[in-house]
Amino acid sequence: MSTKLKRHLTNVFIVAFLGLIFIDTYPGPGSAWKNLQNGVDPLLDFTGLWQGRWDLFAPDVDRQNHHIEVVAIHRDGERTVWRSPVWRDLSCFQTFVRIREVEFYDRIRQEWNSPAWPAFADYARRELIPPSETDSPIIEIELIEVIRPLADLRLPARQPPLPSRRSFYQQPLVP
Amino acid sequence: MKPSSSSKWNEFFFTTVDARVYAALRIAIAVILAIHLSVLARNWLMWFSESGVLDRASARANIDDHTQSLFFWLNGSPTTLKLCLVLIAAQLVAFGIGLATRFNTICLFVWLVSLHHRNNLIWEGEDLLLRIVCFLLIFMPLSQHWSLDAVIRKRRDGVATPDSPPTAFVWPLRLLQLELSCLYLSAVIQKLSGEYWRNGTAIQYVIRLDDVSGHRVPLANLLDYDLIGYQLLTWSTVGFEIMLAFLIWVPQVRRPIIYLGIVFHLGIEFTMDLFLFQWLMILVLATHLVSPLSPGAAINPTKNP
Repeated sequence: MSTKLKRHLTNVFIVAFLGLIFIDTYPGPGSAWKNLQNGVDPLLDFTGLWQGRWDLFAPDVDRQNHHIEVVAIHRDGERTVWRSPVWRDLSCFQTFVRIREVEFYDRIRQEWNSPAWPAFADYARRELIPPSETDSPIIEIELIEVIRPLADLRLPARQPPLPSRRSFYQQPLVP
Repeated sequence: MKPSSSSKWNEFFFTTVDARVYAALRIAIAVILAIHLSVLARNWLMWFSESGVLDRASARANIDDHTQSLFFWLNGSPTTLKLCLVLIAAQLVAFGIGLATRFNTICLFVWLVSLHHRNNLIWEGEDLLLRIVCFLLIFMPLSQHWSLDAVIRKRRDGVATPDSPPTAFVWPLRLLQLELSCLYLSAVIQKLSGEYWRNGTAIQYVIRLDDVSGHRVPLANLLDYDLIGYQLLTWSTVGFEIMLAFLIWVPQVRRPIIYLGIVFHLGIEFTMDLFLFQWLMILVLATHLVSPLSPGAAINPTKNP
């Protein structure tokens, strides 16, 4: 391949790469921009070059302090509960090595990840729920997001306050 | 005479840099990837197997249709997955020592994309950046220095060590740097769409989040501030990001901006638990310290990428 052709191809690649990341990243005005984003989306998804959102605690930071509860409801009415870790109670090193769990329990509660809820409920029933004291079978699994209030806020918290518990998925089981 | 846009373009993308920059980047990324993989390997089957938190059908349903993953095609048994882990680790070692470097870089990118798409619930912004970095590494001459490939080439071709270090085009590095600017700008746009970042109170919440604060320097105890203090911190965070997105391209202020940026990220690193995010940002930021060797070499670069 000649140097000139190589240079041309490199230029095309540079322009294409920069164009794609710009289109994918920035919110543009109007529906034409949205259509453009939708147009390049399949290519970015396929190649793994999609940018995602660099939200970094934005926009609503006070919604992010939470843990997940999985509640198993038994036929006799007993409830067995598993809670995801409260990261503040763990050491710096423990949080570091469990970073994927931090992310998972943050993401799983989001509405757009609802297709993953049945699989997680099933996993939680098999692996997370502690053994019950009775032999009564589990008839339902419930996934709950528990918003944890931020400690010692000097400034007024959100008004009205966020709900402290939100059940986001119930999985009835046939025993 | 004013330089044409074409010559400015060439000067920006097609000047040369010391190729050791690329070798150093390869080694640093290999270390970051090794830590990533070690952490991921702890719960490998939990994240990626059929009996884990997300079976393949659910994973497929939870991500856009056009995404692809090797793990959608493989059988998903624990044995296969463990073999994949061993293979990724082996390719990472080969990448780190610079053996069959380009091939292993491509493979690592494919593995990374496959992992991201197989379970899209366990990644954060840092992982998105790492994936793009890995893609751009494919186009970098990573093995010209400090690599087994270079040793093998030298023995095979019997080339004596040149007096001056080999050079390479700067354009893949430029794309990486532009990606970083894009990231900062995107973070600013996201932040400014949130009420707390606009009214200047976001930092008081961030420093109290369970998963990212409280383990290191307890900022929440130290910053016993009133509204003005929090506003200064919040808006200066946004200010730093705007600065790092734009001013870093102004040659006259580039170095101070880079040093400020490094201090900014080290400050976050020592006060918050954000895994390796700050180190990756510092690494990419530090590539701005590399000066082009020969602006005039745009016409006759000594090495092709």
